[in-house]
Amino acid sequence: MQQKKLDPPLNSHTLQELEDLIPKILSRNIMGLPAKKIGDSLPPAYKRAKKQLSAVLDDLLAGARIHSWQPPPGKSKAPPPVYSIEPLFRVASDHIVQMLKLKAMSPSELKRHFPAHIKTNFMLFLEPLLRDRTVKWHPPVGKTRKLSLDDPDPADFLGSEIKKVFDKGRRLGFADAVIVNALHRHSLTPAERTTSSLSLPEIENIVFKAMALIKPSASQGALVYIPDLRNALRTIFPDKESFDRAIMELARLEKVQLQSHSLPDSLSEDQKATLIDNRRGSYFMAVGIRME
Amino acid sequence: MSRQAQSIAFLSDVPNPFLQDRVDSPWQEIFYDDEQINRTAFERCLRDTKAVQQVKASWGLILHGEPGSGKTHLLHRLRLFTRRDPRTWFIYVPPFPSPNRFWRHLLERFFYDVCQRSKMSDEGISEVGGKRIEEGPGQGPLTQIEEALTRHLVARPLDSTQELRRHWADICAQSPPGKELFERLRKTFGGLTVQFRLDPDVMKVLRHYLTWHQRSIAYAYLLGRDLPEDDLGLLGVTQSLDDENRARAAVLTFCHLAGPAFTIILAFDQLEGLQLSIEDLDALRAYSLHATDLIGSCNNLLLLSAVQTYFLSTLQKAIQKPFYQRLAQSESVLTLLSRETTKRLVHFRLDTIESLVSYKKGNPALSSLWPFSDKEIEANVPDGGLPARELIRWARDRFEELRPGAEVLPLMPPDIGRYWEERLKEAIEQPETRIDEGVYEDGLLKGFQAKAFKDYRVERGKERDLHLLLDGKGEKVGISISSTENMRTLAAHLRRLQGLVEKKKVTRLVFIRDSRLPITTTAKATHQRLKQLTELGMKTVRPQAEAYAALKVLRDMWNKAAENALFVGDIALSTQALKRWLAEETPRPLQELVETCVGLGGDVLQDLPDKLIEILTEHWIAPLDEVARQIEVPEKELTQWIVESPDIAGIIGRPPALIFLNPEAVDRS
Repeated sequence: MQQKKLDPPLNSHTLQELEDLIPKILSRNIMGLPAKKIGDSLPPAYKRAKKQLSAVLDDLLAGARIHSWQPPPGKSKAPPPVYSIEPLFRVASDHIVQMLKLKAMSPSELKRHFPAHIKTNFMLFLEPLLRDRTVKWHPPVGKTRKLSLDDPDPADFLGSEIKKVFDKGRRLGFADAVIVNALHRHSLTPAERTTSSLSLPEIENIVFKAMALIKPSASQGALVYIPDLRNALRTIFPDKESFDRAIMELARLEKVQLQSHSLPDSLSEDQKATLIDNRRGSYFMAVGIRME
Repeated sequence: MSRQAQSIAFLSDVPNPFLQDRVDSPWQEIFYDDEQINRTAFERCLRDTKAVQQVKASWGLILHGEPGSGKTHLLHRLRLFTRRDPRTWFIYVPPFPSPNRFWRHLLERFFYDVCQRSKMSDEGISEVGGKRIEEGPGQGPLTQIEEALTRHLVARPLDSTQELRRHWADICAQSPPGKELFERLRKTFGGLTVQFRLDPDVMKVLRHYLTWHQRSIAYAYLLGRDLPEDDLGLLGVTQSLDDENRARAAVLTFCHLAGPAFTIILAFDQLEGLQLSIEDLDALRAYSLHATDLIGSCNNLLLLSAVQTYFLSTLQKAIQKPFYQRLAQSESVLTLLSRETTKRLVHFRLDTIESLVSYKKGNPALSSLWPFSDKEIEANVPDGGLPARELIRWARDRFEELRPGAEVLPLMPPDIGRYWEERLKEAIEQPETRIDEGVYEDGLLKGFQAKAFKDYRVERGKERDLHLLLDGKGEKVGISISSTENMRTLAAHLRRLQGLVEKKKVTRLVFIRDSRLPITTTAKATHQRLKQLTELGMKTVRPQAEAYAALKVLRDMWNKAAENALFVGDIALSTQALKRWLAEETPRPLQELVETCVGLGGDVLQDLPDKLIEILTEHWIAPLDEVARQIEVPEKELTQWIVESPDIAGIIGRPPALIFLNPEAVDRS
């Protein structure tokens, strides 16, 4: 009876060599290889039957010299595991980030830089990066959406619309700074328009900018009438209380000085409503940035 | 005694460093100033001053802030700056009395500040460093005009005031004062007149004044008094400056004489006082018109308008936009004190008391703010800031409280009557250099505003020589005022009044002429006109010095109230409160004058002052009975009148009583 040809038994010396050889092969394939591809990459003298190779890989896994990743099951059968020197998730994530550092890419462009076993399950690797906002989807241009490490810049997507707004604004006689301010006010949601969502430095910034727009010399300490300032900031501080609170907060911190009306009896109720009660029998009528 | 008790005991002998709580005028002698406070506002003023020099164009600057935040204080600092800067003049202008008297008022201020004041010393002109000096040209501190002239004459524009004083003394020493020096400087003054296109008459009279030739007449001329022809003849000119156009030419002469290398800081203060009521915008409009004219006519002015912040909107409403923009080319804002600057100011004031500083040096445990604490000072500062005056008033009272055995006095209601009497006494004692028609006009208008007569509406007169118009009860009462010393001018004035009556512009006339301004018996035409007008129903009122002083006090109080700076005790009186007091407690001289104008007053011995002056000018003293006989007035009535009119004459002894002429009735030099 003809005896079936069997792999020669592995002596300890040969086993040791094979265990060294497989990590070397995997280190040249950073994205990992399935067992079959590892077997194909072995020199003829070390080629082994599938079972024997699996046993060696298991030994390497047990010794934490290599890592494996089991792709999720497909429609027919479970795909083979992928072996790698470094945990494949980390390697793949790092590679995605490295590639996106070079430029923003669509998923299909990105996939081209990965082996088939990753390509097939690419979204599995991308998902955690999108979740923690390491990678961001950019708005579509045409039908394509790109991935990038950076937040999308509206100028890349609204360039022509922005140009149109400024062109029209200039034609109507508005200075660029005024248009920018209007755009800023337009962008705020009603919730954002309440002071509660604004920090004090933001309030200071908004109020001082508005003062300078009303009167350029305000930045050198010139006074601005409170009714004018209230009007200019109506979208940000839609109600009297929020405006008064913001100004009084700046006064408390001595960022601004507030000058009172000398003849409060001469003010009508409507006029009083546009000022701020100074709680000392009169009304604050003008505000100035403190210079000293 | 504990250390703390010792410290408190020490305070009992320390003068309170917070007693001075306001600056009434930039020329006030006692002045405490920490230059770090309101530094930004001051630097703005300095930048604009320098810009005028560099650009050679006049500039309008608005200085504003809350009441008590230090506007006049800043003007004082600016005035002191001009002492260090050889290229500046400083002129302070309180509110002018009527829209038609801007230039005459400004001329008077120019004369006082430029011709009478020295930059280096606020001492009297006859004293330097406490030592009495000889009077005469080149003696004493150099006035601003002498300084400017010397710069031109020695062609050394950047010399210090001290060096210029020596040069001026040398120039004046080359000829004896009076005619010789006057003649000697003819050529140089002539050269300047041509070079800077100046008014030759004004330059001639200025030469008189500076060389002590006909100096007292020149003084009266430059103040804007309408002088008799004889006096004008002595000066070699034909017309006085008591006219808006001529006063304007004189003011421009002063400005141009300063030259383009100079900056004249012209500070108009208390502009709120230009309003009689919130609706009255006439004087503000006149101010904008004339002030912009001044800016356009000169290239060396920093025209500074000082107002309260709230008043800016009134100013904008009153003035046409281009004029406002010209007056407010830049703005300088007074900053209310922060917590840090309040402590700084308190510290500064405490350090003005030497004994306090030494005591603290010997007791290092005491803080620099002792006897105050940081916290109690900071607690005074409301959000938004604190006016300096409020802080100083608090510190003054707190300092008193901290003294041993201090009693807290209850807040007393303001005693306006007492305040009025004190101010009136001061005003009466002050020698009068010029009896200003504007004081009568504006004072009466304000008096009528407060003491409203039922059925009469009072407004400024629109016709020439008609200063006020009382409209009501089916009649139009015109009030005309004349302070001219020139009888020909007075006759012409009366002729025009006659025309007004004939044209029925008024149904009744009241003619006001201060009793200290005689109408000479030789002025035949004037007397003739007076007689004719009296026949037409005109009433002549000859107010006493007391009435004039009362109007001055009224104007001063009114202007301060408009600026929220009328403090009676610790209470600031508003214009409304002042009006109320005036209506309810009208002071006697004011009451008499306004009642006389509306025809409620008793008959006045109209020509008595003139007759008395006429008789007594020759003899100065005469028996009472003899004078009574001459002027055909019962002795008793004459005695009564003299007792009530001490500014004209007085009585010595009992029978036989003598009557004497008060020298002030005929001399205002």
